[in-house]
Amino acid sequence: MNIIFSRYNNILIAAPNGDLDHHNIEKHRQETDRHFKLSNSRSIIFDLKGVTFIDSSGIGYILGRYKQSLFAGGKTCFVNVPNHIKRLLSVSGLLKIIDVYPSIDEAISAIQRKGEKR
Amino acid sequence: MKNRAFIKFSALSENEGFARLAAAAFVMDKNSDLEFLDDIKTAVSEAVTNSIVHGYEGKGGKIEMELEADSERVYITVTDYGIGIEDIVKARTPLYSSKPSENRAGIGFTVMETFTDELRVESEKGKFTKVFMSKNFR
Repeated sequence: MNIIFSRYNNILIAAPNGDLDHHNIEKHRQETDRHFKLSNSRSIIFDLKGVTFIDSSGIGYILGRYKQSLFAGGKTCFVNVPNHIKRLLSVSGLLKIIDVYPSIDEAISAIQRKGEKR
Repeated sequence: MKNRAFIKFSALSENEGFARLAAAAFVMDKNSDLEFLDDIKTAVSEAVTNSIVHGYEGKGGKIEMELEADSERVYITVTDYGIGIEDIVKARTPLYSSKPSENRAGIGFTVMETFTDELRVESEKGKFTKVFMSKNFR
């Protein structure tokens, strides 16, 4: 279980692999926060393609990063949401506050459009 | 005839994955629908995490998981002998967490409720917490 980080301007792209559950979430939170700060990011894109399982701790983790990017004046996006985690994302209300995009490129464009409006 | 399994394991977070996969494996023969199995895994994971984080407050202990299945549904009971829940109604309130922190959304019981057909919680302060869930195979 790991997260692959990449960045595009001030957008952090986080692609977790494996289970986003209570067992490994604290490590993920620390790593994500470190990358977010180091890269001076304002927005974050979660590429969820490799997520095999998510529980309420995983929801808490995403919600925390969402708040961070909100405070930084950025935006949070999802791409590649697998069917098996869609239900929990929806039940938790995350899909009401975080937009899903078909690709990383489209998420980046949406974030940049938001930036221009500010 | 009812099929039964009883598993007792240490209240360590690495066993969250073990417990949810064991529960999924137990019901697979009755309903191998991926969505059904994901629901079971999610509900069990929340119950076990609660026992580890809240019941035993991360200090460890033993968790018992009892699985039962008849032709219609599966019954899952997760029990810990930790600190218990003083106010079950409050604990089940969406977004409430007794230990608010970065990674806690306060939706554990809400998730269990949503992903199963029945959820009951019994607890005695300082003695035990028992979470009982059932889910219909169709």
